[in-house]
Amino acid sequence: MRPTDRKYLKSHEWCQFDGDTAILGLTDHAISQLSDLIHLELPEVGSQVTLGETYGEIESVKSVADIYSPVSGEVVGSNDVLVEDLEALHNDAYDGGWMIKVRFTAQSEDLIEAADYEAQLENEEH
Amino acid sequence: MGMDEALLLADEAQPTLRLYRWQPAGLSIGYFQSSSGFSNVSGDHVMVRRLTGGGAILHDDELTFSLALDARRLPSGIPESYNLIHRAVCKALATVGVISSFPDGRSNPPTAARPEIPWCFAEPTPQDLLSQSGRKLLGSAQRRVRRPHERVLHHGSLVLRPPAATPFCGSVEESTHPETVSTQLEDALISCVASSLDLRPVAGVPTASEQADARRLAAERYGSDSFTHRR
Repeated sequence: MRPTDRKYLKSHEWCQFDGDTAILGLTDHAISQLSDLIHLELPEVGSQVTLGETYGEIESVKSVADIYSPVSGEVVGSNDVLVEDLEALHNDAYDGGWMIKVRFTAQSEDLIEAADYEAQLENEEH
Repeated sequence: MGMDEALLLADEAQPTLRLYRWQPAGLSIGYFQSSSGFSNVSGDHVMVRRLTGGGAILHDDELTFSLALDARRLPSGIPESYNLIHRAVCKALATVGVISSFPDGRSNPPTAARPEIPWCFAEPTPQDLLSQSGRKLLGSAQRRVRRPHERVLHHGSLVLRPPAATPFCGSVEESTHPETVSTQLEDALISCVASSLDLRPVAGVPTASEQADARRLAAERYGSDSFTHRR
């Protein structure tokens, strides 16, 4: 069971709310599909992210994928440790694998609970 | 490159296989690569940054293709999706008498390919297609987007003759004269890729919307120095 203290997008991002801050990351499912990770690019602290738009890009061997934001707001934290050690994403997608923290002003209406996200994954597999 | 991205992001796009050649020869660099290391080899080549990742490619005497399609039409795992497409290319090559194969697992780990070795063809990964001499014959890279739809762009560069600056490329020339088989090879590629996806190929041209998007992307992104030299 994925962590229930946060919400998910069908596009395999997770979002954990803490007051006016949203912590964003990629689900273990998305990471497992990417396999060998090479490069992660995240926005700088102080920049703006927009709901529904990409905020980062991740390169694995043979593939580049966009990472989408479920919130709009100002980036107040960026996981520089993760950028230097992408293996952490495979080992710890939901804690050490956080990507950015956003002081958010708007959030997606498409965020779903962990159980609904898992149901979606089951549907995709069948 | 603009057309490939337009096909990737198209709203109601059918799976599209696009074949093209480079005139004049060009140099494409991977999405995350620095352009600075290639100033001594770019010469007269037009340099362009791809939307897909991986290493740099000198595109000269080659058959280039892009495949843009819904992600669900491919296996969800990236290695598996490469296997499907590369086996189709392998089959197409066989129809024109070109022998190709896959690495036997003894190649270096894929992470060794960057950034020390900036050329796509310098280091085969386990999914790569090799020529008769065991050299990398097909350069490939993917871009995956989830919006507006879950789609995949797969780039492929099938070398007919190795460029002088990257003589380590495998090539069709190792098995046969490229001129005598190029048309047949194109047809076989279309047929085998479509068959591997359980599709029936239909010849077509980009829609007016795709063409407009391609022109805009070519002007604003791929033709712009700020994008090409962003790293």
